[in-house]
Amino acid sequence: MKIVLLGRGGEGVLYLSRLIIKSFDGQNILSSEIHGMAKKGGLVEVHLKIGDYKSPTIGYKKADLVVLLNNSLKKLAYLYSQNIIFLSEKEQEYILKSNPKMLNIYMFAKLAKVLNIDYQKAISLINKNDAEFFNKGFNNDIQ
Amino acid sequence: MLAKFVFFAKSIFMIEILSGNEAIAQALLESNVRFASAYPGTPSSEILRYGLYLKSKYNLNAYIEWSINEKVALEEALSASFTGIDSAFFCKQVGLNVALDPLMSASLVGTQGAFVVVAADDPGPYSSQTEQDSRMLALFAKIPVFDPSDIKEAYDFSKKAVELSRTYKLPVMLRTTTRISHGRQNIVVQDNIENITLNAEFKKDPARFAATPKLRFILHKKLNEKLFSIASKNSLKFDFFGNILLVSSGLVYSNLYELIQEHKLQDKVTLAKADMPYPLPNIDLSRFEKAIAIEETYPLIELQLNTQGRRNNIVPKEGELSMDVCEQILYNIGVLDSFVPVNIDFKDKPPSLCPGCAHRSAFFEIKQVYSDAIFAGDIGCYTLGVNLGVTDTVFCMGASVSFAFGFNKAFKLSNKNHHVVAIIGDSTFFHTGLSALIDAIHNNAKFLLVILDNSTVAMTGNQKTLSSPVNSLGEAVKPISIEKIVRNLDIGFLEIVDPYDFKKSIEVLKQSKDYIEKNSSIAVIIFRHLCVNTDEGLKNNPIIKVFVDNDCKGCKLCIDEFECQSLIFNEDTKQVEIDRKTCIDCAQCIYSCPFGSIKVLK
Ligand code: SF4
Ligand code: SF4
Repeated sequence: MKIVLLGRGGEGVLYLSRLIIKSFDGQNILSSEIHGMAKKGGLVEVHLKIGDYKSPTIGYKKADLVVLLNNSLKKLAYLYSQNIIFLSEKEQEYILKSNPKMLNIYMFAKLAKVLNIDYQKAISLINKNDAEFFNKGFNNDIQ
Repeated sequence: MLAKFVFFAKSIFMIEILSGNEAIAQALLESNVRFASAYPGTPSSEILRYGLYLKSKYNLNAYIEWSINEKVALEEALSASFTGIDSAFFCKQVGLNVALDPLMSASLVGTQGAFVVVAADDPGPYSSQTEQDSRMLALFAKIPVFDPSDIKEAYDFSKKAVELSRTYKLPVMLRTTTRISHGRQNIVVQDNIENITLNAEFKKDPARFAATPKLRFILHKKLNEKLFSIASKNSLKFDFFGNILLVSSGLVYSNLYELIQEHKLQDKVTLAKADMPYPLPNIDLSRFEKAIAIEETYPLIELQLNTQGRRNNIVPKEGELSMDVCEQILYNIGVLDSFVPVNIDFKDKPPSLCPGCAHRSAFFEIKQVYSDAIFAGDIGCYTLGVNLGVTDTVFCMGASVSFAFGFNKAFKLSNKNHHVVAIIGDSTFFHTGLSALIDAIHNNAKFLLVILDNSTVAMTGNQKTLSSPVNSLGEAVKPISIEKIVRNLDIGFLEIVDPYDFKKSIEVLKQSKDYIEKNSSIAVIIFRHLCVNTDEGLKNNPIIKVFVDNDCKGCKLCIDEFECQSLIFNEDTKQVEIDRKTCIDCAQCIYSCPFGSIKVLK
C-alpha cells in the first residue's frame, strides 16, 4: 500500500506518520520525508510504503491514498491520487477551536477506521490523554 | 521506536524502524567508531544527534559533538583516527566544500584507525544552495565512496566503509541523499553496543604526517596503488536480462528497479548497480546494445565507464531523479510504451519565518532605518529575510561579512557612499563570519554588522551553539561570548538589543548609522531573542494578544512589509485578520500598521 501524507510544519505530520508506521508493525515499511526550509507553515510531505517495495518514494498518480492535514494542499493531493482523506470544515473548526494539537490524532483515528486497523492496537499507540479525540475520529463523531 | 527481538546464533539483534541518518549512526557505533564530529546541515543533522542518543543510551566512552565548522570538524575526527581511534565526520554536501582542504591531504596521508566521511546530498534541491554530487568530491579527493540505495544499505554500507577504511588506511566516503537520510525502514540492528578499550597512540612518522612536497609524490603513488587494488575488487551487480543496460547507484537504482517491475520491463533492460560508484574498474559492457548511466546528480559512473546518460541529454542535467523523472527517462529511451506526464499545477506559498520569529522584527526595524542599504545575507532561517526585502545576497556560510566588505570597498573605489548591512546568525558568525570580520576590521571597512542571536542553530533542528554553557549531553563546557570577542576586536560601536523592543531597536540602529558615517568604520549590533520554535523560547516569550480593528483599510501593508504568516487577508471583508491557529500572541505586528489598526486586546 502506498500512502502520501501532506500537511504543514506544526501540524504533526511526522508524528502521524510514526503512528501509522507503528500500526503496521511487523510488515515491511519504507518511507521518505520532505520538509522544506520553513519550520512553521512549510510543506511537509511523507511517502509511506507498506509491503514489498524497493524505493521509499511514490510517483504522481501512484498513491493508493492521500492523507491531507491541511486543505490548502488539495491540489497537490490530487496529483498523487483521487482517493483522499481530509477533514470537513465542521471537523476542522471543531478541532481548531477545542484543541488544535489534536488534528493529527483525530486524523489517525479516521485513518485507522478506513484502513481497518484494530481499535485496541491503534489506541494503544497514542497518549492516554488523547483518547477523547481519537474516539471522536474513530466514531466519526463530529458531523 | 518499536523493537522486536530476533535471536541469531550468538548475539541478539532487534528490528527497529530507523531513518537513514539514524541507521548510519547506529552502524558506525556498532563498528566501534568512537569519535564523531560534525556541523549541522540539512539533511545530515540527525546522524550526530542519533549518535549522541546512542552514546548516552549505552553509556559509551566516546567523543560525539558538534564543532564550529566543517573544516575544523573533519580535522578533529581525522587526527583522532591518526591515533588509531575509529572516527567519523558528518556534513551536508556544501559542508564538504568547507572541509575539502583537509580531505584532499587526508587521502594522500591516509589514516590509522578508520575514518569515514558521511556527506548528505540534496538533489532537488530541497533545502540547500546547490545540488552538487559529493561522489564527485570523492573522485576529486581520490577516496572510495559508497552510495546506498535504501536505509538498510545505509546501515550495511556504513559498516563496510569502516572496514574498508581500516583495511586500506584511507578515508572512505558514504554518500547519502535527502530521500535516504530522511527515509525510514525496518532494519535488523544489534540490541546492544558495548564499550571497547580505547588505546590512542601516535606513532611519529613525519614522512607521512608532515610530508614535504617530494614525499607527497610518493604518498600519491601509494594512494593510486590503494585505489587500483580497491577498484580491481569492485564490480557491478546485474539484475534482469534485457539488451539495454541501465547503470545506477543510490536511491535512483531503487526507483528504476521498482519501475522495471511495475511495467514488466525485465526482458527489455538489464539494471546494473554500483554499491561503490568510485573507484570502478574497467568493465566490458560491449555485450549490451547500449549502456546508459542514470545517477544523481553528476555523471560519475557515466564518465568512468564511458556510457550514455547526461552527456547526450538522456538524463536531465538538473533536479532530483524522482520516480516520475525515471519513468520519463524509460519512456524516452524507448523501453516504456507510453508515458503521460503529470501536469503539476500546484504552486505552494513561498517559505516564511515562523509567526513571532524575532528575526522578522529585526528585519522590519533594519529596513526602517537602513532603507537604501545593500543587505548581504547569510545561511540560516534568516535567509527568509528576502521576503521582507532585507536580504539581497545569499551565498554560503559567512559570506555576508566578506560581501559587505567587498561591496563597501568597491563603492569607495568609485567614490560613492552606499550603506551596506551584513546580516548573520550567531552560529554562522562562529562558523566563518568571525574570520571575515577580523579581516574587515583590519582593513578599515565600513558597514553595519547585524548578528541575529537566537542562541541556537534554528534551521537545522535547534542544535546548541558555542555560546551554550553545556554541551549536547548537558555537561559543562566553556560558553563563548560573541560580545566579548567583538569587543576585543576594538569595535567602537557594539550594542545588544532585543528586537522585540521596537523603540530601543530603532534608536540603536539610528545611532549605528551616525557612528558609521562619523567614524567611517564598522558598527556591530547583536539582536538577541530566543528562537520561538524551541520550548524554552516559546515559554519565555511575552504573551500579548492583538486584534485587527474594523477601521482596517485592507491596504495589506502589514502583510507586505511585516510578512507574518498569521496575518491573513479576508477576501470577503477585504480586511486583514489574525489567524488564531498559528498566531503566538507576540504583538510584534502592531508596529507594521501605519494606521494603528492592529491593536492590543485589553
Ligand atoms: S525556527 Fe526559530 S529562528 Fe527559525 S524562523 Fe522559526 S522562530 Fe525564527
Ligand atoms: S501577534 Fe502578530 S506578529 Fe505575532 S504571531 Fe500573531 S500575527 Fe504574527
